[in-house]
Amino acid sequence: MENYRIMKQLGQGVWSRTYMGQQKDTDQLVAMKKFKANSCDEGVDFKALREIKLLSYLQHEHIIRLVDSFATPDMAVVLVYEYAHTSLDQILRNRDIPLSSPDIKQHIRMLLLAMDACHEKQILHRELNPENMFYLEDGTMKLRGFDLARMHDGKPNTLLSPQAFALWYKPPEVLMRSQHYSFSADMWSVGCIFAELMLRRPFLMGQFTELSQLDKIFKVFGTPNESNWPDYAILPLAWHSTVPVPPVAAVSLDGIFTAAPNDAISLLKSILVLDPSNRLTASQALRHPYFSNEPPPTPKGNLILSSPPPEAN
Amino acid sequence: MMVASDSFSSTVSMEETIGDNAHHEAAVDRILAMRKIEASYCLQSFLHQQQSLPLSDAWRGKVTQWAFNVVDHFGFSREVVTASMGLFDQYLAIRGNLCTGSLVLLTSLTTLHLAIKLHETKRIKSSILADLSRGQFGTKHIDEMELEILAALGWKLHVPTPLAFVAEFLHFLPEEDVSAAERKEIYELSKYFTELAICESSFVQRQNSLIALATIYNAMDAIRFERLTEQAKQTFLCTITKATLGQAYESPTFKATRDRLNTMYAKVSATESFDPSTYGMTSGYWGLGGGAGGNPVAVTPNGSPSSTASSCYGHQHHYTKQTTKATKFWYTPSPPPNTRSVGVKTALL
Repeated sequence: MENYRIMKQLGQGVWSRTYMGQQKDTDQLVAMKKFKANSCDEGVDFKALREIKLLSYLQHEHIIRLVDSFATPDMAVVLVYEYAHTSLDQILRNRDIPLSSPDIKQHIRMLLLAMDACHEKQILHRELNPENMFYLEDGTMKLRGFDLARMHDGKPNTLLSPQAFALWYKPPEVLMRSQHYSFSADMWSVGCIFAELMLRRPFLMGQFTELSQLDKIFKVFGTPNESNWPDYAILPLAWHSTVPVPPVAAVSLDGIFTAAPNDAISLLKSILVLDPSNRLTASQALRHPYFSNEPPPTPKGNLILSSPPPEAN
Repeated sequence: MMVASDSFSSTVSMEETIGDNAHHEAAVDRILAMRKIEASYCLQSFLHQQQSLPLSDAWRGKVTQWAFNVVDHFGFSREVVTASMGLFDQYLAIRGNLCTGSLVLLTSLTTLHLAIKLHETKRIKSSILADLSRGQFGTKHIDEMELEILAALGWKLHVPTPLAFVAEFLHFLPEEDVSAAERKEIYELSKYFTELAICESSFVQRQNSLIALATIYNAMDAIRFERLTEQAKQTFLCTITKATLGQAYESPTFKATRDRLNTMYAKVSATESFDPSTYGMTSGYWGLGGGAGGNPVAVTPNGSPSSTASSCYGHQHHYTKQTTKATKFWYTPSPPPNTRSVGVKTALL
C-alpha cells in the first residue's frame, strides 16, 4: 500500500471497495479494489485469487489490465488495475451524453469482442452489466468484475452456481436454478445490455426477487414450452409455479424497440432467446450483418464518454 | 438493410459445418496463451541437482503422496495436487531450496490451500489444514505463510498444468478417426502419466506443455486404435507440436521425458505394485525431521484412493514423530486406466 496514494472511493460492493489511487513513483492513476479482510477462516479471499489467475490468462484489448496485487497487514487483498475514467452505467445515466445508433454499435461491438475473448479461453464472466464496462480516455472499453468468473471447459456435467449474475441480467435458465449453464448465459446478459443501450434504461427490470425477474422475462418472451425451449421442463424450478398459467405469448420486440434499426433488432432477437442452445455465440454475433451494414460503428476515439463542458456565455 | 434472424442463423450453421478450423484456432490461441504464462515461470534451480540441501527428493515425494491423499479424502480433483506442487516447487526454488522439515510441511499445507481455492468450487478452512499438522501449525501460521508465498511468487498463480495442456492438445484428434471411447482412453491414460510426472522431482524443471505432449505420445503408443492409422497419428502429433510447441518433440529432453514416464509406467503396469524407493521415496512417512528409514511397502496403484486416504490420516503423527511404523500405502496416483495389455507391451518394447 505504501507505493500508492489513495485519492477517493469510487464504489463499494458486497465483498470489496474500489478506490481511485495514484502510483507514488509515476503519478499514474490506478483503480484499486480492496477485498474485505476474510473472516471465514479461509485466509486470502478466494475470489481475489481467482480474479488474479484469470486476468493473467486473459490479456486482451477489451479486458481490464491488472497492474499489481498485494495484501495489507490485515490480510485484505488489493488488486490494482489500469484506471478507467467512466463506466457504461455512468454514460447511460447521464442524459447529457448523446448515444447515437453508430455509438451503440461500437459499445456492443467492444463488449462482444471482450466476450469472445473470454469464451474462447473458456472463461465464464457471470457478472456482465453496465457497471462492469469501463472506458479509458481513448474510448477503449475494458471489461472488469471478474470476481465471479470461472474457467469452464464446456462439459455439460460441470456444476455451476446459480447464485451468479446481477438480477436484471440473469438468464432464465439460471433463474430456474440450472447448475449446468454455459457461455450462452453470458450472452443473455450481453443481449440485456444491448437492449439497454437502445432503450437507455434497463430492459428487464424485475422487482427484487428472482421470481419477479422470471415473470418479467416470460411476459416479453412468452411462457417456455416444448417448441420454444424443449429442455426447460428438466430445470429444477420448472415445477415450482415459476411458469405462469395460463401460458403467455411472446410480444414483438419491434414494438418495444421502435426507434431501433431492423438489423439491430434482428441481432437482439438472435441473442435474447429463451432456449440457451439457440442463442448466438459472441463470435457468431460479431459476424452478424448488423456490424457490416451502414452506418459503421463510431470510431472509439469519437465516443462521447462524459458531459460536454457548459458553453461559455 | 433488414436481415431476418432466421436467415442469419442458417448462415451461421452452414459456416459451423464447414470444418473444425475455428475450434482448432481457438485451441491454438489458448495453448499459446498458456505457453506464454508457462514461459514466465522459470525455475532456476531445483532440488534433484542439489542433493546436499535439506529438501531431498524423498521429502518432495512424501509431500506429493500426502497431497494426493488429502485431495482424495476430500473429493477434490487430483489436478489440485499438480497445481499445489507447482506453487510448492516455485516457492522453494526461490528460497534456494534451503528449508527445514517444518518449513516444508507449512509450505505444503499452504500451497495445497491456495491450489484448492484456485481450482476447486469447494473450499477448505484453514483450521482443517491446521488440524492436519497435528498441532504443529495454527491457522495464523498458514494464513501468514499464504501471504509470504504470494509475495514471493509475485502473485503469479496461474501455472497451466500438464493436464490442462493435454485437454487442449486432444482437440486436434481427428474426430473421424478416433472414437469417443478411444479419445477418453487417451485422456485418462495421459492423465495417469501426468500424475506419475508430478511424483518425481526430475520433471520439475521441464515445461508442463512438454510433459503433456510426452504423456499423449506415450498414451497413444499404449493404445491400439481401430481406425487411426500410424500415418494419421503422426500427422496429429506433428500438427499440435508445430502449431504450438515448435519442434520441441524432437528434442533430447522430450525423448528423456517420454522414456522416464514409460519406465515409471512399466514398473506399475508390469508388476501391479509400486516400489517407492524407485521414485526417491526412501521412507514411507512424513519423516520430515530426518531421513528415517523403514522398509518400503509396495502398494497396488489399483487400490481405491479413497480407501487409502483414511489410513493416511491415521498416520498424521508421522509428520513429527519420525516413526518407522509401516503405512498402508506410499504413493497413490489414480488407478491406471484399463489399458489393453497388448498395446502396453508393444509400447514398452
